Amino acid sequence: MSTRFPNARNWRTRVLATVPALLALCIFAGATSSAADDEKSPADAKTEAKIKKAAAKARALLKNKKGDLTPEQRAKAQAAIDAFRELQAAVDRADAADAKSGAVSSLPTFPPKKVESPTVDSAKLDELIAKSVSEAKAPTSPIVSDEEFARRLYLDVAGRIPTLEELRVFVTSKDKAKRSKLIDKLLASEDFAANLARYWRDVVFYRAPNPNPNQVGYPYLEKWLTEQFAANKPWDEITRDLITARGSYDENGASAFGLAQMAQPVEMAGEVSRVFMGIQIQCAQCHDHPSAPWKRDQFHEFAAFFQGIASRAKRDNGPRTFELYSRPGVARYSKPDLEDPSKSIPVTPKFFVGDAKPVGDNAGTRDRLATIASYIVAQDNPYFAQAFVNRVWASLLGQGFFNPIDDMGPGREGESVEILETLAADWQKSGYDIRGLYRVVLNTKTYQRASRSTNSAAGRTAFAANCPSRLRGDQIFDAIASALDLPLDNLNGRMVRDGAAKAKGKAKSATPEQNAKALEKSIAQAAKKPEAAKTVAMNLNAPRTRFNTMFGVDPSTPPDEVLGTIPQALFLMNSPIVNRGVIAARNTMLGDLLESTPDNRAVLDSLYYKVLSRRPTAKEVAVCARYVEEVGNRKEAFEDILWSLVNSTEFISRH
Amino acid sequence: MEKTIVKVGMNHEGVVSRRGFVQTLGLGAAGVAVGGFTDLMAVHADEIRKKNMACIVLWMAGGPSQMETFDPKPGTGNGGETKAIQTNVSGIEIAGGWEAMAPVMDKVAVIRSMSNKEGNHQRASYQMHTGYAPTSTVKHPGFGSIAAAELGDPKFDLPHAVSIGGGPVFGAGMLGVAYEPFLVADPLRLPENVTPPVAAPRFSRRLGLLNRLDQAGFGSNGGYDRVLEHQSIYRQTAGMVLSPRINAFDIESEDAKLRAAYGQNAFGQGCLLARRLVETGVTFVEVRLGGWDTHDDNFNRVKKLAGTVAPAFSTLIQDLSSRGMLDRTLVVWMGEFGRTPKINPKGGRDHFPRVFNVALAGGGVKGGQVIGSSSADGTEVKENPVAATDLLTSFCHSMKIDPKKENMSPIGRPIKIVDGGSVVKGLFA
Repeated sequence: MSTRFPNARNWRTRVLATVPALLALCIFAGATSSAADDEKSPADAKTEAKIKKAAAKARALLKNKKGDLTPEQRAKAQAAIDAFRELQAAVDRADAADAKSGAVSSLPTFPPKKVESPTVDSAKLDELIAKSVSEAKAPTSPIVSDEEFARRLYLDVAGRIPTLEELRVFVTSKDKAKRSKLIDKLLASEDFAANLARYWRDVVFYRAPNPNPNQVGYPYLEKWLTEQFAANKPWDEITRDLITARGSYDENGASAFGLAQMAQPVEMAGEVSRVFMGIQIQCAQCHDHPSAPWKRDQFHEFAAFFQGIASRAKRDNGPRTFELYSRPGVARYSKPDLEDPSKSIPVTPKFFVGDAKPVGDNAGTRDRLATIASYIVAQDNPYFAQAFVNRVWASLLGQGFFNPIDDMGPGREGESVEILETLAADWQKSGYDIRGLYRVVLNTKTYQRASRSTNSAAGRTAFAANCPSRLRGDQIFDAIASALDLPLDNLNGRMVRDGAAKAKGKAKSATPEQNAKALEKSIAQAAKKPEAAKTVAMNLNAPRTRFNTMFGVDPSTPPDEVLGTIPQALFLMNSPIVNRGVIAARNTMLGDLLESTPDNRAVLDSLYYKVLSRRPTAKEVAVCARYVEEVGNRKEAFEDILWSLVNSTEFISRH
Repeated sequence: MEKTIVKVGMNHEGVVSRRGFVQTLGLGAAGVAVGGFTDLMAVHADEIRKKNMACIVLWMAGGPSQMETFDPKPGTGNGGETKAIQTNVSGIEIAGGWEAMAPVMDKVAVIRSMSNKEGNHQRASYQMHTGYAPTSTVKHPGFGSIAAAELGDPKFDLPHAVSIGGGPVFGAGMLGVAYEPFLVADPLRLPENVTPPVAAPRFSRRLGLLNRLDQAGFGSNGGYDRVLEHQSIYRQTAGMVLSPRINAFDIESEDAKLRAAYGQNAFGQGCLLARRLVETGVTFVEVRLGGWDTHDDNFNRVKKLAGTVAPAFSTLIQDLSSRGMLDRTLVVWMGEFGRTPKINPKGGRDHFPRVFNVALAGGGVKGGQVIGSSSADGTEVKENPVAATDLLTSFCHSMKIDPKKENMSPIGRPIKIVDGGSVVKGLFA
């Protein structure tokens, strides 16, 4: 008989006391054994499902056929409902009791977090890079122009391209410190928090074993993360909240992390390790890791920390959401016996980094989660800081010290790893200040160097240059909105909507002009209700969400492997949205521009600034001038030029 | 490597009338009748698709009830009101409501002993599409993407895998976007955004300008590799937009009688589209139909669904057969699991992965047989249990794909196309 977690006995006693009544009720309600096929759930979950079903049936009967029931049947139905309420109450009591089980002697203690002043500044970092660059004999790229710097910084930090006005103010400023001032300004902006939140939302989303986004609540995760980044909460606190989260995702967006793993210990273990430590220990789930020192036992000892947390649909009358809670009566975590697959072997939780001791089997779920969170974010766990720094570096330089960025070893080969170690150790000692880390990297010459093709011989050269990479879905979405003056966030789902219902009749024969008109109308309507933008952000059907299903990319994918797709190209080439944005008509960006600007060169400059945040090169001017001449129709020619800019490689790249 | 496959959401603003579409591309006036053109294309389909094999999956989303489809149990408590009907194979009875299938059962093999453990829709669908349970470590490719990667010819200018009917697509996963199924939400309309908003000559002119600007700008300023990749995708996309083969997506040229036989509904027309695509050289097509999650009113709801599926399935088999395509086209009817033998108080059946059924035809499958059986009360597999991996291994066998081939995951872990499993005994002639 396996040991059970505390409170289990208490709970079981309560339930067992009602068992005869329950059995009768189950028979009464004709509850079937459909839940019995979920092998993962413990026996208690089956009982709970049966009782729940009986209660639901009883409720339906009382509601619809009350008159037909005998008093005895009515009493039985009521008893079934009461039994379910009592069960829920028992689960809640056990869940609440889990919170108070703090005083378990076998739990390790952790030293309080120390915060020292950072010693690695931008100049020091440049020095380190310069040394490694000269050792690699790599030619160093020049520092970028103000225009290029602005576009890169806005995309990397604010997640969008600069507006014409922002670009003008920055480029014309004579302030010598204008770059670092812009860095500070953007790091303090709401856009930075939103951009970072979307990045980390995607980190979770693209690997989630839970395939149903409605059970995870990504918009709430994004909102929660935005709040944390806006408050510049240190990374260890954010991580701790994500690992130990409970409650429903609408009340606590951090719960989405566990819900994305379906609250399954092995999935939690794999993702916590990958996301927060850059270690792919989940490979050791079935066998000892082939190329890293991790053993199968270590994986399961780690996974044992996450036992006891469970997910369920929230039990209230509000909108259907999901929540994490401590499930009482769950057996100890055990791993499959490789010798005899019908057996399993109980496992005691133990962290695999450093010389951690086993954690007592009697610790409650909350205590175990709090303990593993403390182990992970501890200032003597180098993997934790390095994983974050490597991601930030990769997003700002176009390549990480380790690639793929979430597979850092041990036993993996990286580039200039000693620089990562130095920077990460300093960041760790100084208390995981996220904005601080960005500030140091963004102010380096290394960050501000011109980009170079990654695959060329001189490309991969210990960060002697920046590397171009493809924009994430959110960035492209905002870039289109900004370049073409389209309020895309306010389109109420019209963006990439299937619209099958309407399609049969009207839209089938609609011309592009009619479609553009309909779109215009919806934009005008949206413009009248600016507050709609805020609510739509929480909507899974929001245009941004739909756009991301087409353009989104797992941010853990190496940049070289992020390739475009045919539907993306089709969208940029032919979609009514883009078409509406590139045509020169009344009240369109291009229409207004052509009307107010007779000089073709000035129009071309404006378009380049608007779309690519820079002036055209002499070569580009020549190509366009010849094109305008050949086409012989100014409006058509500039529509084609604008179309080409929006469809260009540069538009969907950061460089 | 060429990238030809993808999936796309649908946009109702993206559709121009079919006539407009053909005119835009300058094909309507080219003197090639649309049907004639497809026939022309079909001649080349075999050369286009390596090893000559294709697969059409009719996916019954929600989990079809085995007792109301191909494993009826008339006269038993669990069997409920469903009757059994005779087919053109003596000894093989199927559920009432599926009369349209009766004349083709000599070409169909029914497996009545499918067995699995996963009772959650999404997880079970993942498993039945990929052969693996979902995990955060690896995104396993669906069988359609595997077939696309293994058999699709890179020079073919339409997607190798297509998913018709919307809903979640089990995509290419670790195989990469190149093998993502291309999503067609509504078979009655052309796929989204395939129609340029400007006439073909101007579209081509634009593409020329785009290439020149890409090379003059970013291409000579640090973005050389990115531009090359981008141009490769654009070349292929433009190739598809301008390809005469895109007419395969247009089912309006099909004979009215045949269209009616498939059924005047999205699923029936989707099956017809599937045949057209396979004929043109597409390797894998899935046609989805939802509504099978019959927790209540199971009997009436399945009867209605059968009225949609049976004529389409039957016509598809006959259509492929009469065109000489059935031997090289594997047709599979399946869902993510079966339903509880016991009828619940709402007249429904709940999730039941322990016993369910699958029907297959073509692609070398020996028709007119039943493989495996369920116990009299339907609660257990009586003989020859078949697992998801066995089924996928059999798909591989039919399509001449090596199921033991290993693909590398992004972190360098080798993943077999199918892990374990063996070809279902007796399924193939």
